[in-house]
Amino acid sequence: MTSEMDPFLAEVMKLRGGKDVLECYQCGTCSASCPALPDMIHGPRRIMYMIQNGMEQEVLSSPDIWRCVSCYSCMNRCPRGIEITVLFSELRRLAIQKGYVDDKEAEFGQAFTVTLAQHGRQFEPELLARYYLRVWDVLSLLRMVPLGLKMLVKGKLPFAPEHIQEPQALQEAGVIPPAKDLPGGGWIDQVIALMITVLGFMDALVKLASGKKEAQHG
Amino acid sequence: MAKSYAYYPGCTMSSTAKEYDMSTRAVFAHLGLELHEIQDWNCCGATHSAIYKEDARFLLSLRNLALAEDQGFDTVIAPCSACYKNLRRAAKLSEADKSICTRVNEEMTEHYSCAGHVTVLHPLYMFIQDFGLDALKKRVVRPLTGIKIASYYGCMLTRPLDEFDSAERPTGLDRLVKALGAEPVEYDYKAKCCGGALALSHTGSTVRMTSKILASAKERGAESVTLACPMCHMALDMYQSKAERAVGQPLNLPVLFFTQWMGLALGIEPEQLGLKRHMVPTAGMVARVIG
Repeated sequence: MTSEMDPFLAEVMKLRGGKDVLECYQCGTCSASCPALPDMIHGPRRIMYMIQNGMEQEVLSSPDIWRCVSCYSCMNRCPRGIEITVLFSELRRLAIQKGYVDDKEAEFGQAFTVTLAQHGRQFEPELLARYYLRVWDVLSLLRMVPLGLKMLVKGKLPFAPEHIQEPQALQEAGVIPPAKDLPGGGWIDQVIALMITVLGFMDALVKLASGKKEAQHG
Repeated sequence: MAKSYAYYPGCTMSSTAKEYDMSTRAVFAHLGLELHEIQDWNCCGATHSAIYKEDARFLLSLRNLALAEDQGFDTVIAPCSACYKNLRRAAKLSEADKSICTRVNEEMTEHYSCAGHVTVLHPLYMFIQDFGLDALKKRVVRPLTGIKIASYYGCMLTRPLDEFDSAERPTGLDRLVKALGAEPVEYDYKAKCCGGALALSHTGSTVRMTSKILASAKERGAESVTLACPMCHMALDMYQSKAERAVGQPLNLPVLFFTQWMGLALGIEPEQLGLKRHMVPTAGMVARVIG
């Protein structure tokens, strides 16, 4: 049996959430529960069927795996106990590894992880910059400008990143791949370094100004 | 002796959801509960933790639990639903499957015992189960009388299914706001996803999902929404103007974290609760409580 199994199916069954994929009997509870279904091509039910039938290219290049919102509705309701949400997040990694990826959410996820690996924590201005430098989606960026400005006014965007003591330890543990695997990593990193310097300078100025004000009041 | 908890704020608590951090700390202090931020905590990876490496999802969470354990705590409070889900699942899975734990421990500088000594709790269910709603009721000095509040649970607060609440028809937030004197609003979308995870990459999807939630709450008479997750707050508060354009009508629903409502009802000064940091102004709601 195992020797005849389709290689893609066998690969998926080794993933977290994938071992029970053959249990799926196509009831459709997952797709009926999915809030992202209108944005998908196949939906989770058909993705399960496609995995069972070894359709690697169709599954891994489908936008569906990137439209999942990780809400766990399908997984919570699946009568066969398949961890669909977990499996979808594993399919994302497989799609990146095998080079099938063409979705803005894939770029966001990678921008998120790279930013995390730099500092050990998230730093929103850097995350946004890395994301937009990867996708070059100028229209969306312009649409975000009014909200971004409001966020600045409300103090919702920090100027300086918070660091853990040894972010390198997370990199060494393989949370991100070596730098050479990152598309366009080199020049994006240089732009980000410049941005952090400028923001740090602004942060220092703001602190200096508020310090003076306090001194006057005090 | 005051109960002492380790605090895992998560990344948004010092940026987009600073008001959640402020109000959580204020409410804990007011109720005599000690909250100690885990030293050197790292990002849990949100929904992207496994994007390069499978074990990363456990590694990122377990490092935080190892730090909490090392710093002498047995309970971690995680107010962000996504962080809470990641940390809690990692704690449970590592306890059940020692092979994951051994594998991850080999790669970590910090060592986690994985013996189940560390419990991860969301502050909402800590208040309900450990502190108790009756005890909380006795501390209310400014009851939220007559305010119609729609509780929004989102996803990772109750899913994957856990012991604290129903994943389909959760009641925790409703019970809490009722204990504070408010009027809970029943509506259809309280446990449906806001789409916050795709807010930047597929904004249209987020707006579509968020619009349904807000329009449904509004239709059932809600004057305000309460919730327990920084990502949901971003979608429902920051994206509310986009949702208004999508539904073609004004929504005007101030979105307060449940800890902000608690703070107001318990008599904490509004300045300590970050109520001016919202996109949809909260001044009207504050005036209703304080007068």
